[in-house]
Amino acid sequence: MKRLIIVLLLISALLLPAFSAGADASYSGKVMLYSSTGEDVVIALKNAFQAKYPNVKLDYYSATSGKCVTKLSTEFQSKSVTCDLAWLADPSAMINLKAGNHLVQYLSPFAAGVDPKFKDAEGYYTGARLLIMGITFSTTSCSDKEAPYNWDGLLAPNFNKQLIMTDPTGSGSTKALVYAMTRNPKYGWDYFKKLGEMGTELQSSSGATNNAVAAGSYKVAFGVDYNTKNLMAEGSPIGWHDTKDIVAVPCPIAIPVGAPHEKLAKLLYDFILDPNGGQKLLTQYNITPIVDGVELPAGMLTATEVASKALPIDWIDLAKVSNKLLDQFDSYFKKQK
Amino acid sequence: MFSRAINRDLAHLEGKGGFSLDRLMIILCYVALITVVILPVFMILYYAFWDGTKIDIAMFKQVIFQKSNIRSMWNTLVIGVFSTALATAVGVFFAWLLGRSDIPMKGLMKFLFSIPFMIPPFLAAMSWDMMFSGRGGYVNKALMSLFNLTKAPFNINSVAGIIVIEVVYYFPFVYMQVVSALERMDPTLEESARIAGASQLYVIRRITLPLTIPAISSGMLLVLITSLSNYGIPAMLGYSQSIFTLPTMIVELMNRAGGSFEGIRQSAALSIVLVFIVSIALLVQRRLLTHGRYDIIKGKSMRPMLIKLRGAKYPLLAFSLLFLSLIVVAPIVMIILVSFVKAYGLPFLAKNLTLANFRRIFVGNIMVRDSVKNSLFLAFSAASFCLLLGTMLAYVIYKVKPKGGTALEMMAVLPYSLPGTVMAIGCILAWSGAFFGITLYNTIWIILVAYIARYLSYVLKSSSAALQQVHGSLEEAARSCGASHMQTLKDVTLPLIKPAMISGFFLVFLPCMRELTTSILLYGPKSRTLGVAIYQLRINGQIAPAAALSVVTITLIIICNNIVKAITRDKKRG
Repeated sequence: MKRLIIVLLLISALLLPAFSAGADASYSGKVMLYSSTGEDVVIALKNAFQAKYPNVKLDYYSATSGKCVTKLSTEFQSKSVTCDLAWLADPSAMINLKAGNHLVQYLSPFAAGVDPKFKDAEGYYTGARLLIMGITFSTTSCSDKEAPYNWDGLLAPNFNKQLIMTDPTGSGSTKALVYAMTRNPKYGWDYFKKLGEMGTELQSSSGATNNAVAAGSYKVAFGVDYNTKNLMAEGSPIGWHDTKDIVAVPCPIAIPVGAPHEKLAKLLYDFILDPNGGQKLLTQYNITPIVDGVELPAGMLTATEVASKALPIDWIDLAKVSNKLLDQFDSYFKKQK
Repeated sequence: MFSRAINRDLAHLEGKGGFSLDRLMIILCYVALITVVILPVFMILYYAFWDGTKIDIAMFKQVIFQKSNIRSMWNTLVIGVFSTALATAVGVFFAWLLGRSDIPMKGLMKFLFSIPFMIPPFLAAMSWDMMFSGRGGYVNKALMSLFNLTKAPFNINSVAGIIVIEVVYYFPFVYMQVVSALERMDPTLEESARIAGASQLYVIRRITLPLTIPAISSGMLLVLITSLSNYGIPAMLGYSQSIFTLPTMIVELMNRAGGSFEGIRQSAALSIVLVFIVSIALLVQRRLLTHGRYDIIKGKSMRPMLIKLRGAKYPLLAFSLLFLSLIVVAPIVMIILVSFVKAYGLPFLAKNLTLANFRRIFVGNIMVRDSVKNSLFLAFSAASFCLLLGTMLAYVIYKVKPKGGTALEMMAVLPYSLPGTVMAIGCILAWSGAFFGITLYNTIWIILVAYIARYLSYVLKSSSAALQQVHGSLEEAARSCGASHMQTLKDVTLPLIKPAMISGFFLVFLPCMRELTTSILLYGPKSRTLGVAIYQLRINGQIAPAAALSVVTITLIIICNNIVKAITRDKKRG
């Protein structure tokens, strides 16, 4: 009898996730996601979400974080919010939106698994994936040996005029990198001043940076992990090195005030943070999940490991000094022609 | 009482008194133009000088005197002046070669000249970037390995590079104008000079050239205005080197400010500077045109005397074909090649080729699918609206001739001289709830309104040219036979100008299909256009899929273009 109960319990335990993973037809309607995550990922997310909630239609708008914020602000001004859930690569943008009372407070049951460094304590936004900066290099013009394993290696003279980075004005992740490194005594502003003197050039987006390296225009770049790894998988002639000093950006999700489908937005919010939902999906695109407990590809760090090792970033301070930071950066890099 | 009845009847017959069709059309024209053109323009002025509570010139001053903005004004001017001068030289040369000399293979060359019109300029720029951008361009790479160079031989990402691409893209404007003037010119003038003993060069200098000056200067103006207000080429080529022109700076200011009130005001202020520069160009051209107007160009078709090139014939032919294939064929081939490559940067070897890029843009990618749908919808609706409104305007201005006719015409052609970026900013300001709480921002309708404003003058021009050829006596004849005003319009006037209306429709349809300048500022989450989709793919670094979508776009445009040709040919035959 006892054994039977155990067997029954085991069977039900096995069946339970099967049921919960099945389709849930009780929700219906449309939900609009503004996302700076690559479009491939968003399409996969859309398919998985719609498979779980067959009566919900997920629409998306995919653009850089800056563009998404511009769209949002104009929507707030004209009081015609279209966006239900925003997923940006720039926590400081979320901090500004929160300060402007533009975000809805939501404590997702899945948010508990997210490290406090990667989310808002009051639940206005929650990190939903990790973006890790590193070194992207061209395999045609730079050997694996020549490419460094840490940021200081980029100052070597063989990278004069052979190094690019994404313009931090338009890229939240590079802005975070500049902040983290300038606040670290090992690098400071000196590091960026030297980069500027070496003739380091700027690109408009991390995608453009990767392409310039892939085309062999430059040997090395400040790269973004999943962009580079995905291109490598396609056969692009580029390579990737993780750096010793980790710069990690939690890419947060949040619901804007006035979202026309708030209930479904929360559903999507949960789905993205769910280790068996969105988070598992991310690893297929070489993106580091924000919660532990997801099976990771070889070489990928867990969220907890990243949280403990990464250079510290005070996101609230970054949001405050953002303009000053960009001005100083521009003074080294943008001598307009 | 009897006479009053007759009077009313007469008045009715003449279309006077009561609420006549003419008056209705006049009112409709005013309402439409004020909504579509005047409101956005007014809002730009309002925002640039009004800070919400009082008149504020400080912000305007600060924007104009900001160093980076002055730099972009300078770049705009340099690029505008040089590309206009060079495009004119190239255009006139080819017009003379094809219109006046006995060079062979004219048909092929004329066909090649028509291709740049079909390819959106930003696509051409993208393709040139793939070939000649620094060390990464495919052609540069090939040259570097061939000649063992350490530095890239060409750098397209420079002011000079932008000028070269604009010349390549815009010289057909001058060519088209000049070649048709040459074809319509009375050849006896040249012949008599030759008989009187003038040398060939002297004839060109003293007779042919002065006679074509009006055509040349109108072609030049077209190039200058297009160059000053172009967004695509400097955006594609200049960004990585921080080279900004006014249109790209306006968009940059919009983006940098994250949609804040201050950012919109700054872009509005910079828009005014751009409009100012364009108006100066227009004034200069008007001055040039009033000097030396010649009415000797005849409408009769006569066979002009062809100049024998003799020994220079084949060298010139080789040069022209080489030049045309470099500037027309090479970019297209480049885009097609890249659209099949697995990852950008790989050499074009069989093992690196794939169809995955096409699959990627079509399967599951709702943004690309939406953009094809949106562009077709926008092009069709904008062309239809422009056709209706433009023809009605032409009729009102040239046939009804109301008191404020000139005002109507000026309002209608105003957006033509306004850069697309400026028009877009105006539309955002006007249609984000400023009037009657109407918010079109983020919807496809705001793009439609902007397109209508921008391209209305195209239909107005083609329809009014046709209407001016319909003599008033035709309508009068119909009216005196007892036809109503409406009937006359339907059975006499409209059928006569139908071919012009059809070509007017496609004059709007085709540029709408490939529009980028306005839509880049106006697109919303669900209203991306083809141009925006390609631009975004490229900015996000997906160059190969961007190339694949470009191939699709070019194919669509070529198909549409051939439909137009088929229709207009049928009309001519019938």
